[in-house]
Amino acid sequence: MRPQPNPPSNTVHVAGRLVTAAFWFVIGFGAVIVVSIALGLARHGDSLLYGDTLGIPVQLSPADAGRLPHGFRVEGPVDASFTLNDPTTKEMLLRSAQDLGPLALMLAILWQLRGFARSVVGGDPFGAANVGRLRRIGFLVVLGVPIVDILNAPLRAALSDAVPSPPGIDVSVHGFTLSLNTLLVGLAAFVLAEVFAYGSALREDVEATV
Amino acid sequence: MAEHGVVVHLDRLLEERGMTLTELSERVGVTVVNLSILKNGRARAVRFSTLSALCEALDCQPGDLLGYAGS
Repeated sequence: MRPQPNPPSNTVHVAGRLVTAAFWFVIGFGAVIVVSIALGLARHGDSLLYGDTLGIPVQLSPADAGRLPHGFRVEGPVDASFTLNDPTTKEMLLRSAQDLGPLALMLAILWQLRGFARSVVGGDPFGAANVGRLRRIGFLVVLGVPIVDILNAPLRAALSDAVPSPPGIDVSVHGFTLSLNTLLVGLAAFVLAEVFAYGSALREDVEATV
Repeated sequence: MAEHGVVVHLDRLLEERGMTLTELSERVGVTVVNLSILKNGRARAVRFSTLSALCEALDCQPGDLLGYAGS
């Protein structure tokens, strides 16, 4: 470990522990999802996480949102939820499978963040390893989030078959959306990677100065 | 030789003065590790303060300590 001119602050130590705790929490939640699916298979749709009811996110058209006081109006589709009682095994699987993609993505990002936090706590942040981690986080966010959404879209559509279409009410499911915020976070990670690459080069110059 | 082409004649000067790297380190206040980096041509830069201290300890001129062999 390189000598540290300024030892990491307590804030950095706390942040490192929080990232590690988040990582293990997500691992634990992943185990719960697996157990939930197994129980759901054994109990014909009655999973641990969702039980004998499934909340299916849907969207209603503004016209179906109900009467509002004068001056109020609904902008765009309204997010709602349909409660499906006694889901079948297939319906349970369709819902549970939608959790796996985000879980894997979050684990991958937290794994990179954990390594990054450890290097900062160890006083050695400006290295090639962290440049790589930040670039991977950028790719995971910019590409991973839309890919997970694309993979979940047919699962949502298949699950929506269980949602009734009452006469006169227009019900739809969330389609694929590209979030600008997500894109900005990913781009910020790429920019930060270049900052750390420059910092790493500067550090090497300083260390090789006698 | 490093990519910059500067050659450090520290080995020769130490041998001529009958001094070890450790003794030089104690005289100039630079660690043995850093002096090794300098001696083995792995340094990218030398501070003037370090160069002055080396020249004083070795009783030499910068031109005795450093040479240029082309890149």
